[in-house]
Amino acid sequence: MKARKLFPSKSPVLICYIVPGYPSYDESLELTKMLIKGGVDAIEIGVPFSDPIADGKTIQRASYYALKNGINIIKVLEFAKSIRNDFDLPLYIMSYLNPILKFGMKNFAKRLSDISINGSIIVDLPIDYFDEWYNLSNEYELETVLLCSPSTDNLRIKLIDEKATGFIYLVSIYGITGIRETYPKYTYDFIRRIRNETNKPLVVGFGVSKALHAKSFIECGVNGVVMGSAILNFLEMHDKNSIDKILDLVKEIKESLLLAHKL
Amino acid sequence: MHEVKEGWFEGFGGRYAPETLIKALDELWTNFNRLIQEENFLQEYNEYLKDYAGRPTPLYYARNLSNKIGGARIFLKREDLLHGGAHKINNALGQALLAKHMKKTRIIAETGAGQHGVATAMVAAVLGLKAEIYMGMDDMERQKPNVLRMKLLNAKVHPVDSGSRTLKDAINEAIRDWMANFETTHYLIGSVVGPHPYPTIVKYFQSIIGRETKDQCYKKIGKLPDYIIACVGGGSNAIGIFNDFLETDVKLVGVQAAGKGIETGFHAAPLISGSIGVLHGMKTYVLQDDFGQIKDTYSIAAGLDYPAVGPEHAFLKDKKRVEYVSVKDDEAIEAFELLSKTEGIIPALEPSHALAYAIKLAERLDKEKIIIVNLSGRGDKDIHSYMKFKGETYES
Repeated sequence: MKARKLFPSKSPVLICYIVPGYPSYDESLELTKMLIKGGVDAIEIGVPFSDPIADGKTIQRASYYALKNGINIIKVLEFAKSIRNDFDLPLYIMSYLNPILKFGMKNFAKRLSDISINGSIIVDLPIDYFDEWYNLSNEYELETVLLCSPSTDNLRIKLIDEKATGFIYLVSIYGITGIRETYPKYTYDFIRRIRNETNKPLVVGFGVSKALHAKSFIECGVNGVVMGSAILNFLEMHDKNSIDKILDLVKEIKESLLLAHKL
Repeated sequence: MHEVKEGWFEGFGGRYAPETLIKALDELWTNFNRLIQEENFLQEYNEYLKDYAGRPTPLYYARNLSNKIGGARIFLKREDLLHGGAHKINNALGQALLAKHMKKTRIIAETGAGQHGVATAMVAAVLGLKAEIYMGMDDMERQKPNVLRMKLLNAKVHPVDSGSRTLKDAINEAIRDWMANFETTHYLIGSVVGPHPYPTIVKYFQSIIGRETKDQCYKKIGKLPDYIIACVGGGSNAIGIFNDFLETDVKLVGVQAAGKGIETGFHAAPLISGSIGVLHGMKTYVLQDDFGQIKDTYSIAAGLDYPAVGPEHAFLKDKKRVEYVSVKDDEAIEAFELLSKTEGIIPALEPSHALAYAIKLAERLDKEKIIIVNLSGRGDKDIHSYMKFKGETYES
């Protein structure tokens, strides 16, 4: 199936991050399908890594168990392919650099293209070393996504803006992934600053777990949000209603995004 | 292109860090370059090195050990005599002063054997900075005396129970802390590892070891040695003593931990059986599986128990300027015992690896040849591990 583009999008998007192999391969596949049917706009498929330095406890644990369950980058690509067989929504692979290096950057780009993945997000590949991946992405018609943080200066934002063909992923806070109650003022200052610097689609991640978060970010002019740890937290509860609770939250955030957009 | 030119060792090193850290790394590099040009800063550093840490350290001729072996003469660079018991204080002092000049109030560090944690705790205490140390739970168990020392020195010790619960995981946790707190906090990395500029900064502060050694060689022996041998985990004591000899004919040997034997998979020798990858912000040799996941490591020496190595070592290996070899637990233990019995010096288990290789080498060489071993730390901390290895307990 051919992938749809995520942007331009008429309304703000909700991207969900999932970890193939957590709690098990089959359950993560089932969850992903439920999320898609539940109305999420794109899926970020995580490649679990032994040393996830940008992740908090929740994603660390999920990655650890996924690796224990025998997941590796090849199985993640199989997982992505089986989602792609049934759905045309945008799919991204999120990974640390080392598994991709070991797979081979060119091989990886080719493989993503073969199975109609939109693009990839590489957490520890900064703009300074991005050229190789940028060229491969262009060659294989993949979108590039780059991360920006509150500490990114305007000079770097300009470089990132030039090389991000898909969207720019805004890291909301100084720190790591994991749910939170509220965001500091600097998060909003940062988002407004970036909005002024670029016309590229902006998506905010790290900590997004409430409808109110989504609303406040849309009001700053972003085009979507990413939710990861909040979903995994529900899975960790091993409650038979976990999936329902996740779908309720997805619904709530979607509604909040649409409402904020209309205002 | 906004390319970082510095920090590359011909394709190794670099700065593969999450975007959040780029600003902090840039600031560190700028301030480091500024401060090492300032007379006041260098004077302050050198005074602390002399009066607080106890530099210079002696170059000691291990006569009894050499006679027993009956081959080359072995000299020991006595970094074990430094305050805190290891070479770690050279770097800890430098970086803590840097942090203070950068107006940081809090210092975080990772530690494996605990020596770097202790050094960080000491310098934080004397310079009036707050110290928090990340340490793997397995390492806390085997290096208990150092945990107690850090606490006494008023540092907070955070047990790390993720991953392999050793040095690698302590670094992960310290990086996570730094990402959230770099505005107030300096991450005081203990070895020549991590994203640029760390390998360069740590080398700068540790290369005093080699400068002193060279000077002492001329004064004491009248010539340069034939070999310099140092253990390599992250590799800071080795880079420290090698750096001033890179342009000479002296043969340099780095000794990695073969643990229970390279063939068993229970080791910590990425320079012997690793492949090129990216970990902790640097491109270097790492121990990884077929899918790019970092492997668990093993060594009796907590300070060598690390799946990657400083990028300059990767470069020196490929350049063939340094020969990298490995030594097993039991060989290191033998050297640990032999130095204790012949010279009355209990070496740390880490440099016991270098010593073990030096002993093997000395046997094959004649008396005219000179070997220097960087005795990077003392072994008081290792009594527990030693007894455990021998199957004995404190009580028996």
